[in-house]
Amino acid sequence: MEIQNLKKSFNQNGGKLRVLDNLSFDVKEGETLVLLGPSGCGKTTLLNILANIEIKDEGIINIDYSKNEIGYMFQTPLLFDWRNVFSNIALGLEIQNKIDSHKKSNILRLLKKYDLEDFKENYPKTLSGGMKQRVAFIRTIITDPSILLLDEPFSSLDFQTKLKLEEELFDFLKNKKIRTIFVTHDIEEAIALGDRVLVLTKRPAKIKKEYSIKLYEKNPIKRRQEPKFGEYFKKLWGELKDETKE
Amino acid sequence: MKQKSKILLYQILILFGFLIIWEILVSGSRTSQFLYSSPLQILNILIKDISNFSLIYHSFITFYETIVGFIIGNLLGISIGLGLWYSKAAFKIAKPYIIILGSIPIFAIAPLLIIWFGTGILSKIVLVILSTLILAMVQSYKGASEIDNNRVNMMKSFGANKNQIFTMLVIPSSLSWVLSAVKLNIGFALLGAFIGEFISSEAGLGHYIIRASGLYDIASVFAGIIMIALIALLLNFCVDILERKLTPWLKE
Repeated sequence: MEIQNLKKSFNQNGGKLRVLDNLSFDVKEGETLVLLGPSGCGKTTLLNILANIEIKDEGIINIDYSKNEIGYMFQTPLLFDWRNVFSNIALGLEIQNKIDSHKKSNILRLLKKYDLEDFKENYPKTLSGGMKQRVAFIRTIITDPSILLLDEPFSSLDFQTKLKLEEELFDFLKNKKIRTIFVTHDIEEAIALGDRVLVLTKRPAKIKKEYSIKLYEKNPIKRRQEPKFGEYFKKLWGELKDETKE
Repeated sequence: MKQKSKILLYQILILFGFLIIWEILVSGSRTSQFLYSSPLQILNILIKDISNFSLIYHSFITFYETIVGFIIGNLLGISIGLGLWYSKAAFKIAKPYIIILGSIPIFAIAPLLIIWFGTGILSKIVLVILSTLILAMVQSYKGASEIDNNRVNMMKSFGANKNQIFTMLVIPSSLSWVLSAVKLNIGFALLGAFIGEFISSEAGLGHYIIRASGLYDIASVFAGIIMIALIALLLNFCVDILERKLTPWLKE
């Protein structure tokens, strides 16, 4: 999957607000690419364009949208209050007309795997924040996406829950061919989950620097304990702090 | 449960206390009884006019006009209001007309409708429709236009088209707005039917009440009012059931 010379600007107060400035990058099969940038740098706009929700101004994206390859997970769970856990998860399948008994048993299997089996008939308001985001995660992966777009999916959770969900995401992705783009402003999360990290500038977003994360461990919790983790943190913070000046 | 029965007990006590004080205050003087009637007189009238079916007949007419107009008015208003979600431009064009229609007192339109649709049931049903339509429409549109854009995006990321967004997101998420409009409309519907009957009619509680008040038959006026209150209670009860059926996720 490749993105070339992507540009996007919005009309604002009669002028043009440039959001994305000539972005080019690729994501390989099975790779997790982290886009690390200051808040408000246009990361969400980028994902919205990749998900075919917003329209790009210029550039090339080689994704075939007719194949429903995209799985997009947001900062908040965005569950529907009026659907129980099971049918919230089935939403994407219903939209794509892909719901059948095989898929239904798949949902049940995943509910069991993520400790949500007893809650399948619950309405979202009875769930904790972590459980809601797990439901959103299952809703995202149940359509078998080959490209996963994750927009700070754990940023609204407490630290322990966030670590747990990071680990679950890692377990899900390993040995799979899914191309993952993980957007965050959290440096630790970027190093813990990324195979590669692209540091973005503040708006309009450009690629400032690219780091391949070469750590011995793959697991996000164990990665945090490696000595080299701190080195990466220093480097990335060095890149990012110039971009966060007011 | 205990708390609930306690509340009911207090409610009944207040009602009976009120009725007893009323009865005592008017019992000494014939003039007071003539002007204010009394609970016992009203009870007599209720028994008499219910057993000779006249009050049941008039109540049924009013109920029929109200319920038919109420259902049509709400359904029409909700459909238009939610439908306007498809086109912001259409809403903007329609807006001044909606505001004008919504702010004209129904009393002002009523004589026209009676000229056009006759003094029978039809003119009252049209009045009820007009009384309920605007609120249902405005509230439904508001509900539909306040849907969360992130949820729309989430659906789009699965490839959802506009119709799917409408049926899977817009309709269910507007339901609480819609239902609150429907509830408020119970009062407006009864008002519409009553005004129609009040101005010109051959039957209905409005007719019953205006005839009784012309004869200074205060007890009958109260009997009519009680029947209207009962119709309002019945409609409220039905809407409550509907609400519980349609929005099971909102209960504790």
